[in-house]
Amino acid sequence: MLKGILLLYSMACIVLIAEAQTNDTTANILDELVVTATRNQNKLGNVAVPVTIVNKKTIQQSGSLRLNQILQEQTGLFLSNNFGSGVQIQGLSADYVLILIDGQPLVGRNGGVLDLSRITVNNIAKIEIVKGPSSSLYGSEAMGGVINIITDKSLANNLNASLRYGSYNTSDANISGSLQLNKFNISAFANRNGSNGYDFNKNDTGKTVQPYYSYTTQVKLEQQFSNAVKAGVLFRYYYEHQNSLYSAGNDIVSGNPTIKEYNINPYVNIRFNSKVRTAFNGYATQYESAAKEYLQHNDSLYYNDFFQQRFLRIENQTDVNISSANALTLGGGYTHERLNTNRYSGIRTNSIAYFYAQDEQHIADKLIVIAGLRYDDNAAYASRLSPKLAIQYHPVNKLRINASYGAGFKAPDYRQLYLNFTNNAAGGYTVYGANEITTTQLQQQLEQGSIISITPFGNQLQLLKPEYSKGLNIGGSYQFSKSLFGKVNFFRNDISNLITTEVIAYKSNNAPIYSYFNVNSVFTEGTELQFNYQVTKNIKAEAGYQYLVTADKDVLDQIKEGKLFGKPEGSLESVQLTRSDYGGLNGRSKHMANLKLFYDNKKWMATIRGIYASRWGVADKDGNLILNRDDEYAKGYVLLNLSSGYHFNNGLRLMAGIDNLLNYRDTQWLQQQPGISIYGSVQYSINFKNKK
Amino acid sequence: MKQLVLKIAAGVFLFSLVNASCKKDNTTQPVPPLEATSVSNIEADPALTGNHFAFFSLETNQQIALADSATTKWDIGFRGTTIITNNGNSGPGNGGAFVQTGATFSAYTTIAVDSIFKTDAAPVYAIPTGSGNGWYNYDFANNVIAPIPGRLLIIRTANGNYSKIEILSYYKDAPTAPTSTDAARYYSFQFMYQPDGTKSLK
Repeated sequence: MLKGILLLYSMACIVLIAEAQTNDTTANILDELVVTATRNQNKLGNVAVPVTIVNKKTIQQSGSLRLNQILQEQTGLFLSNNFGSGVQIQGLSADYVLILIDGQPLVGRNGGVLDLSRITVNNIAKIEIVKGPSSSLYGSEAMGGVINIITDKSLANNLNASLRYGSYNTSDANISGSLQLNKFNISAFANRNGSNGYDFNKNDTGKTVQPYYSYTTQVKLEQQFSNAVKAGVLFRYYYEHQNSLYSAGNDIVSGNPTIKEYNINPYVNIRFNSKVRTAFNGYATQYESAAKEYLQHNDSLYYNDFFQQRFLRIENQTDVNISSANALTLGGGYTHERLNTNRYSGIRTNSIAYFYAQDEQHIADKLIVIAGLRYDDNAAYASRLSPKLAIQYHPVNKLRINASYGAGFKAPDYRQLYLNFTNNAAGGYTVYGANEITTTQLQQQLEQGSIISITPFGNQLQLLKPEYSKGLNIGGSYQFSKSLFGKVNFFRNDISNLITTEVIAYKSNNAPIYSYFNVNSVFTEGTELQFNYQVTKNIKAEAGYQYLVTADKDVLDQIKEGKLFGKPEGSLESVQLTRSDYGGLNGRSKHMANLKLFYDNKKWMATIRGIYASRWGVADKDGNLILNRDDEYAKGYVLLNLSSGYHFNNGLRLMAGIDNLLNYRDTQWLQQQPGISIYGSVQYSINFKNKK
Repeated sequence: MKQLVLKIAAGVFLFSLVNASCKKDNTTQPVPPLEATSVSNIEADPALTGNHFAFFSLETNQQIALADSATTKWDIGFRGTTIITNNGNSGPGNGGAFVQTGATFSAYTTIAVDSIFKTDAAPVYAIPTGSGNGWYNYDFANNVIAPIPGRLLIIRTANGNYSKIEILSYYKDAPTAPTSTDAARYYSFQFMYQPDGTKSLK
């Protein structure tokens, strides 16, 4: 049924594509400016690494509210839903994707995942997505890629207000304005988002997604002191409040977990002359989550979690145009982090000093070579050198061939080192950071009888090392005609020293105790295809596809040696597994595709967006702990989202949409995806003439 | 002189070895293949009441009464996920066991000469306890105990004979896709018992 609809949809697209000659073009795609790939403004066509740009118009027309929604519609991005909505890039999980707002990192990860539903898209000017290891510019965490959210700039005097209401009592209200006074400008933004949530299982206590609301506010100030000097500051504040409700034994637990987040980013930019400019950035952010939940029958405290992370940074970057064909970027900074949480025993701090350099050389107008290097001196761990080399060759203007090699790393995070956490709400399991438990301590607990057995992992506890990756991307783009643009990229990422949780012991109540280990070596490899087609002046089509293969190298070795067995569905007897039985890492779709149509005639607009993800591994059913059986996968899905709107001359804009038209739901494995949702919104903008 | 005696002794010993093996070859007759036996729903204290083991004899393919726990009548015992063999501080027998990894029941036909049989010294057992250590993996997310594919229990019985066991299920009536709501602590397994004292299991 779903496949049928997808097929029909594709046919409709082909008909549309065949329909008419074009006026508009896709020829300027590569001229878009991108800052994230090279840390200075560069044409998309020149950066030589895989980059996706999502602009404001696309975000608005798609009717997205939160960052996870718009990212889900982009080629090669897979949204995971453990510990909030995270995004997987090139098969590397959300832990390895650095999230920036206006170039500064967001903190506050839970289980390694930064919940993207924290981020409203209403004040986003564009989103830049760099795929592949980018540690040569950004250091730890940028192993799978970097997503940089660039918020609206104050460009003119205007006021904006919008209100949206839809299924599940979901509401989203925004107000923003900006003002330019001579050489000073200020912009302000506020968002309130809330929902009653929804429930997939009426028989249990609480809803699948409990009611919540959140506020985001942001203020940007900037003063141009002279032609050479400007300075500004960005403030952002986020507050989230959720009602929690679930059963525990015969009792019911409820509470109001909250999240508070502050970001402050002052900066000074100086342009010494046409060749040299420098930027100083300060950054302070704090993320704080607090949850106190009580048993209903006697109001006693059942669950108490407090987590506060502070992150301070000073940084300078200087760009030198040595010649018209040679640009040098030099940067350095110092980061201090502090953690205070009742999950750990005490307050933890760490600091990192870093330096990076990058040189971009244009040779004979056909070749671009970008070489970069970053050195991170981590106070708690060994220092790390991350190189990058990217080459682009464009023999003719239509054709660009890119190759890049980059190294990535991710230092063990605080959780992996210092966690000391027992989850009473979910069966009483305990997780220890690698520095919090030793084999000797486990043996003592065994003698005391508080644990009943120690696993082989429990007998080899040791200090953690950083995770390393090497990534290779080879691809190209081709302008087939004025209206058709296509690009392809082949990628391979090899990750070693991967930190995973393993069971180290079992308690006397059979609940496991986990800790962290540098165990695995894995790889991810695949292909990404993207086509942009301007069908008519008013219609454009985008199609994307990613093919992804992942594997744990140790598992492959075991299969090669004939040492890995499984049980076919419906059988209890073991059979030897072959390479083709092994489905790779859990949580990865082998095939992902999207097809999007956008219609816009300045007054009317409409979109149809289809997103497909093939099955992905979720469970082990036959005791071998690897993915090898059909029933160990969650079913693949097709999401179909529609929107349409009308733009009046006076600044009023009306819009309505349906998300998940096919009402796809997976109540077990994709609970964060609501069923069919309908919304309507109204937006009003006033632009004032600038008095100059 | 002393050296010479030793050499002669060694020569005699070698000769007798060769002789013995020749003799054996000459007298070998085709041995009928052993049969695999299936056992289901051995109750390893499912009601969690008595906290006692369920004993089983591989030799007679019978469950053995609790009253005979201190005898050599039984070869293996089950309680929860713990499996004991009749030796060490588990029982008076001459038993032993080890976990063979990476082998299927039908393909594993001979116990290697250098195999080391372990004995029970509770709380450490010849068949290690805990998920991933011995015969099962525990999936905490789904709360299911699953026998690890490709693992066999190689058993020396109370009387010193050999056997191989593949645990098939930990749940009542051996469902092929057990869930946490299925009744647990019901063992189903297949075994092959070699009564002649050799390490051949085929």
